[in-house]
Amino acid sequence: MKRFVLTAAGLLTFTVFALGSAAPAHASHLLMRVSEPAAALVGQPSEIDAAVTSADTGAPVAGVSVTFYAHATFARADGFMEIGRAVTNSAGVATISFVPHESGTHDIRVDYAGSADTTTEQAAAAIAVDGAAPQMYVQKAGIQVPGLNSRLIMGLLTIVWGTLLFIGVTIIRIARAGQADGSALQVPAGQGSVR
Amino acid sequence: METVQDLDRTQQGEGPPEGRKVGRRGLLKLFGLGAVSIAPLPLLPNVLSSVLAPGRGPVKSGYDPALAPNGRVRRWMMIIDLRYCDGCQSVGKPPQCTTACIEGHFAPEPMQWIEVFEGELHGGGTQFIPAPCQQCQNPPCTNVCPVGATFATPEGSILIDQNRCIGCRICMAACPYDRRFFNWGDAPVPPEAMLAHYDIEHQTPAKKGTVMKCDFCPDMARAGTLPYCAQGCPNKAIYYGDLEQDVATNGKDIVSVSRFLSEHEAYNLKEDLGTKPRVYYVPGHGEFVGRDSAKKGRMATVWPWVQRAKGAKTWKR
Amino acid sequence: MEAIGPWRQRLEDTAFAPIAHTSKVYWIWLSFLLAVIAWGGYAYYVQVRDGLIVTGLSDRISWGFYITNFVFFIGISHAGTLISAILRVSKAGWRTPVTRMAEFITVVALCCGALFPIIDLGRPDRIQNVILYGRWQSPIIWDVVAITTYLTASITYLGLPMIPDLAIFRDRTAGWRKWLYSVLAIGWTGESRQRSMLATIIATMMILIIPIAVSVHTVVSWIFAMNLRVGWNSTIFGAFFVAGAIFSGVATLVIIMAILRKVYHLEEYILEKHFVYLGYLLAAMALIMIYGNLSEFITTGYKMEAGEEFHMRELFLGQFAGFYWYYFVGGLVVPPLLILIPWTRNIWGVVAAAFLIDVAMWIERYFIVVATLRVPLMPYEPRNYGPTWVEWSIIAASFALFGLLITLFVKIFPLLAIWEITEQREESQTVTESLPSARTQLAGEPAGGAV
Repeated sequence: MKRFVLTAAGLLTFTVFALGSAAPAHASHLLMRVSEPAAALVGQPSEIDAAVTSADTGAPVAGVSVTFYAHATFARADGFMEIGRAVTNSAGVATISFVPHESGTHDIRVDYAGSADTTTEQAAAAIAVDGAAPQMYVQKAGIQVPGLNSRLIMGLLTIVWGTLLFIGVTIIRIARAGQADGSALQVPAGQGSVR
Repeated sequence: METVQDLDRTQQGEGPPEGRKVGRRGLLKLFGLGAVSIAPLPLLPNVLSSVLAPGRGPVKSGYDPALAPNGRVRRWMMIIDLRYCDGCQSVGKPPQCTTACIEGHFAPEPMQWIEVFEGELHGGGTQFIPAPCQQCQNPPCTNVCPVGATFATPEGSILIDQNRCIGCRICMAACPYDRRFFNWGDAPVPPEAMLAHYDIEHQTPAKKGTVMKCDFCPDMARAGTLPYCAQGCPNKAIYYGDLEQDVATNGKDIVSVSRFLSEHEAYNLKEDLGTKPRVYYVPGHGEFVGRDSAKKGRMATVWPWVQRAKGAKTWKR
Repeated sequence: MEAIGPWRQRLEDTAFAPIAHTSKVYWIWLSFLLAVIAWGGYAYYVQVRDGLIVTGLSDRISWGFYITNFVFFIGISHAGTLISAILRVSKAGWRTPVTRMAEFITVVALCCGALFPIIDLGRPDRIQNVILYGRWQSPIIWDVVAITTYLTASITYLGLPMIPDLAIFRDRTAGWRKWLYSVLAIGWTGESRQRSMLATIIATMMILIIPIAVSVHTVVSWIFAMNLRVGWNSTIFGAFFVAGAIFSGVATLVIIMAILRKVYHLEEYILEKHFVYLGYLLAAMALIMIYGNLSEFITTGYKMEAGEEFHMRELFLGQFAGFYWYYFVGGLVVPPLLILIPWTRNIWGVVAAAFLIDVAMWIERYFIVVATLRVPLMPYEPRNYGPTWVEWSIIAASFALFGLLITLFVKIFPLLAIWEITEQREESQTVTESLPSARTQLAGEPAGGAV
């Protein structure tokens, strides 16, 4: 439903504009028409075309440089940001690929910077972008090798401290063995070779 | 008179000493038991701290992450357009980005959280390079911190918890951009700074013996305001943006980040080191504001605090 | 009670002598050391009160004397491991008279060295954060873990072979000393079960402590090598530092050995031979260190990446040239010459070499820390570092603490490893006795220290 409404609104905008700009014909007046992409999804590239035709003859004009802008709002700044530049081909169509980062309606504006005797034309359209992509920008730093993590350190430490514990226990057993034998005043037998 | 040989014979004569066989088995048992009981030892810090210091683990800023309009987490970034940076030569003042940051954060002398370096160009001229903390995506400082006092927020900003920092300064040795500063003594800050309630996102007032640095003004960014440096720049050379929404602004113009970076061949400082900073530079030397590359020198940064911070000693960087 | 032969009686008496008598010189020496430590304590108090601003450190050279001393002392602590463990594993019998001193030095050096990261902290009141919030990924935590493990292992490795000797002391003393030795000797009677258990755990420790010791100085070197700095960003740091540690450890052992030999009249047990053998070890380690230096500097110097040029100029030609060339020539080249030239291959020659080496190794740690930090990371003027009275006082106090602990050890614990020396002598006599022609040689054998 929403898409129908938006598409309808877009078409309406386009029609009004096309009719409006058709009125006063100038010798080198150029017409631009922006076509919306069929289905635009967040995070997916969508093609935006701008067709430039001569206002007089209606023939497509090739070799014209056009600049595409999208409207954005960020941190209290509001305006149009350049999203691409292209030159019209032999069919008079300039195409750019645009990856929308938000869903909703994006206002697109196309500028043609003309020479002295042609006025700058602008055309506008609105593309509806759907879809809710998960986080698009994922920062990637480093690689994950399975098994190389802090558990390795923990394992090594366990082995080392386990051995130390074993030694500690043995010391206690030595002490116990000494007590069990009674007299601690014996000079250790076998120590000291006598010649 | 016993000799070593006598001793051996004695031991053999008595047959296998009683202790030995039992000893071996007993020792193995003990070893096994010992290893099992020791196994949790490396986890002891976890246990200890969950009891003594709940809320352990990576420090969090305590705030919810800033969100883009469609609910996804912001990924802050900065673009510095060097074609517009002339070290504030045309303004006749010390670099205003640095001044705005110092005044906004009450940064103690001699810390310049964003510092304008004058780099040499091939051919003899110079360019001015304002360098805030590069907020790396592979941050050497965060990797080495022993207590996790410096950490990355979900938005990608690298912050410091001055309540946890032990002042070992390995992060300062690790940072390849010279962007971390230490409070060697009681910092000279104005009296009003002492009234501020300390917050990870404000780092004010400064705490002796801890590390500080540029934090990308996360509180202001969340509220939709540009950081002090971006606001302070008279030539609007500093853009602050979001990699998730793919937009950035310098307060006047709004740009698409991916397009801007590609079209102007933006680069990172010391790209070869693999730190993957979030601060991008558009090459230039201030030519768009009329600076000639041969015009060297900028005014020295000043801090207005020392006279007012009674008893505080400043230090040299 | 078994009759003990004259040789054995002399050994025991010599080992017991420090416990039996205390001279006036000893008390004067002790007071001097305590005075130096007290002054260092005052300096540290000033540092805690005013912050690290009282040192010569700065943002750009944020590590200096304290970290230098830390690495130096941890390096010295490898003396015991090499002498006691590696030589024991390889059954080098000549080591027995010096093992006890080597193990003393290990424990004492670790205690002194481990203080320095704490002294260097900006917030020592938060030292518990290292335990509560420690991150396994941090080189400093690896350090804490490794040094704690090594200290525990060294104390164990010092104490275990000492048990029979402490039993002898227990039998010869009275009063509080007797109680102390009874506790420490844990009821040693010398019967076979105890001896076999002790032999087992000494053998276990001797094998365990070698990888622990290697890991300790490797992770100490990684505090530097895990950072992206010209001069530190090197893969050979681990091996290089371990070699340097053994090198400086053996040199310290030679010096301490010479002093204690003179003071406590151990000439019968510690012969010129021991100094010469340790000298050969020093010569071998010096050659390894030369090799390490050449590897490091030839490879990086040949390529001259950005930043290396500045580093090498200041190291070989500039501010640190005096330090570096003294280290290389005086510490690495001259000592092997002293030892290999027959005319200087005596106790004095080896002790002189050891002294040169110890000074050189301290200087090496100094310029490894400071010269690297001096390399500018961004376009700014390089900063200089000059230590203040606080830093000088604290490191003087640390050397005094080292001396103090050795002095106290000597008064409490047996200076010579009686049991081991005796065992070694018996083994060698058994070997010589089994040779018929050895009987005549045996008569002319000098006392003390066979083989």
